[in-house]
Amino acid sequence: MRHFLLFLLTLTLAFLALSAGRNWLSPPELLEALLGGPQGVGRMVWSLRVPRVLVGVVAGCCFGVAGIVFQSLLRNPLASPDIIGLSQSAALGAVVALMAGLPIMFGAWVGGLSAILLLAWLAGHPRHGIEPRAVVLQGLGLAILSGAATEALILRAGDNDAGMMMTWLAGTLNGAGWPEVHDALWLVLIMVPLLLSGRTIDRLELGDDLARALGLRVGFLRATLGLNAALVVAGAVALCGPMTFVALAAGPIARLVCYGRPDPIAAALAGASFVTIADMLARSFSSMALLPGGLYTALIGAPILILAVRRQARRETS
Amino acid sequence: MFSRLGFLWLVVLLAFITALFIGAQDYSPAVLWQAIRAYDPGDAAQVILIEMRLPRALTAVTVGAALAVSGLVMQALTRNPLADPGLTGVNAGAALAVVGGLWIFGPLPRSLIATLAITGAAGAVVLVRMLAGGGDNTLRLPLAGVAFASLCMAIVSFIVLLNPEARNVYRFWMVGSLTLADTSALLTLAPVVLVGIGCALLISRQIEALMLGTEMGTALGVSADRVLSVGLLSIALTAGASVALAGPVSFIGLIAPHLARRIVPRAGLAAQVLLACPMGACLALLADTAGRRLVRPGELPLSILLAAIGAPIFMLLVRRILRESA
Repeated sequence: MRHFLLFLLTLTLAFLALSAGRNWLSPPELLEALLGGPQGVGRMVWSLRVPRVLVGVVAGCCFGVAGIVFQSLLRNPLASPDIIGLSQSAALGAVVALMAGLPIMFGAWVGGLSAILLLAWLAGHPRHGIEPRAVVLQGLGLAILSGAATEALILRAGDNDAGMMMTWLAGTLNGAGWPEVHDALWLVLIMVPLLLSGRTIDRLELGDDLARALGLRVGFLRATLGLNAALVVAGAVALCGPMTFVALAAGPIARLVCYGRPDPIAAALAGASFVTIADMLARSFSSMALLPGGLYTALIGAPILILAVRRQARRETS
Repeated sequence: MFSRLGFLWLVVLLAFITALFIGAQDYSPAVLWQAIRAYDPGDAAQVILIEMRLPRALTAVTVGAALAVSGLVMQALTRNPLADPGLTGVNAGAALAVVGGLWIFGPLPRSLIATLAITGAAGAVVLVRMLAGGGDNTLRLPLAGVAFASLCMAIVSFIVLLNPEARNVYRFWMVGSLTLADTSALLTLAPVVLVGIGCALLISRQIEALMLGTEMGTALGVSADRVLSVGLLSIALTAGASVALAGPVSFIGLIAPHLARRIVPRAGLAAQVLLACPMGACLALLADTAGRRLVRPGELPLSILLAAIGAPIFMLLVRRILRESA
């Protein structure tokens, strides 16, 4: 039921996003344009707005689901991929691939996967295994390192490329078309195991011993879920750049809706709504049309992050 | 201790002279000698050396020392070895105050910009400290800082992107670099940094007493509130001044205190403050020189080079701290 309501919310927002833009369409106009095929307004809607909204929804789902999986695996409401450096590393890989003329998605995947392997190695302890706290702290360092490397690369690029890449690095859906929708469909396939992992991550949160007693293969599940989530988030970065704070905000919102349980489907829908709203804001203010959507996600998401820190601090000290 | 201090300042002097010669164009020492003996404003090489590189190198020394002291005081007060004005969002808070002030009021005189930066830094210290809460904050302090910093920097880029002319001026300052260094700003802010370092020296004994625990400190006759407020003043003055000069620069405040502690492991806080100054200055000079040398004729901002060196050091520190606590 809750999923259905969230789905309805996402759908409404998506339709709103279809009619929003420099010239607003009323619902009947939008319907006519969608059904009327590729002429006049319909052409603009089908070739520009529909792919853009679709890519945004899929990327938002990716960020949301990866966010809650990492937050749950690392037992920290702040440990989303953009805080622990996965998004930044994926973006670094994507920029390198872009400069070398390789497919962006490939570069982002290489970046994201090597980041998570590096973190696992850095945070691993010969006797205690991988400690969540260590992953988060090492991730903070990794985020800064990858961010600096990307900035250094961008400064070396020509002025034209640099402006484009700076916008992309803040996270934007500018330039999303049908080829990107094609890539996004693959990501939906890769995302399916994560969407279905709700019961598993809920049990993993009980702690290793209890989860083992319930018959889960803790180490194997952690590794596969982590790698899968890294792939998903890197793919989303390749689609629309590292939209900050989407992954981070989706998790707490999903928990709020689902009475504290980690629910990947709710998180995915929350992420999709979040990206759709941000992109709508970015497009509607025509004087600021050049502002990337990622700025809006940061402005909305950062207060949520701060509230989450505050709550965590209160819980731990009390 | 004093021999080590002298040696460190000697290294700073060497780095300083190197910074003068190396850049988009390398010069021989003879040019500097000529410029000192008889300065000739018609000679391009001498003008570059004296008008551009000298203020820049002096700014690097000031910023480095300021950040090192600010990080050291922060680490001592929060009892967190990972505290740094960059990582805790203090620099970002100061940058937001500066950019916001410029946006609202238009062009401002240097002294007002400095005041804005210092106020922003002080506000950020208080806010982040509140966010991180009490108790063991090894993890929460940097997390809260990163959160706060990203919020501030998002607003800063929002403002800067809305003003194209501001973007061109502040593009490099925003990420943290010395491109805007000039003599008048330095003359306004160097005294501020000195006052900040003086505050740190003044309360170093009291901070040490408090590090034994608040009750123990009170028993030794130290007022915790007074120490905290003077410490806060010291952090705000040094971090704020460095932001006004060079934008938000991370990691000097993290690395320099650790290096200082390595050199004099048993010395008191005052000695660490004195040693951290040349250490920070040296780091800033070397990073800036390397940044100008690596991508001629362009330059890599100071902050990017420091992040490339500093982030791995941060990660190593984390590894050691967590090993010790485990």
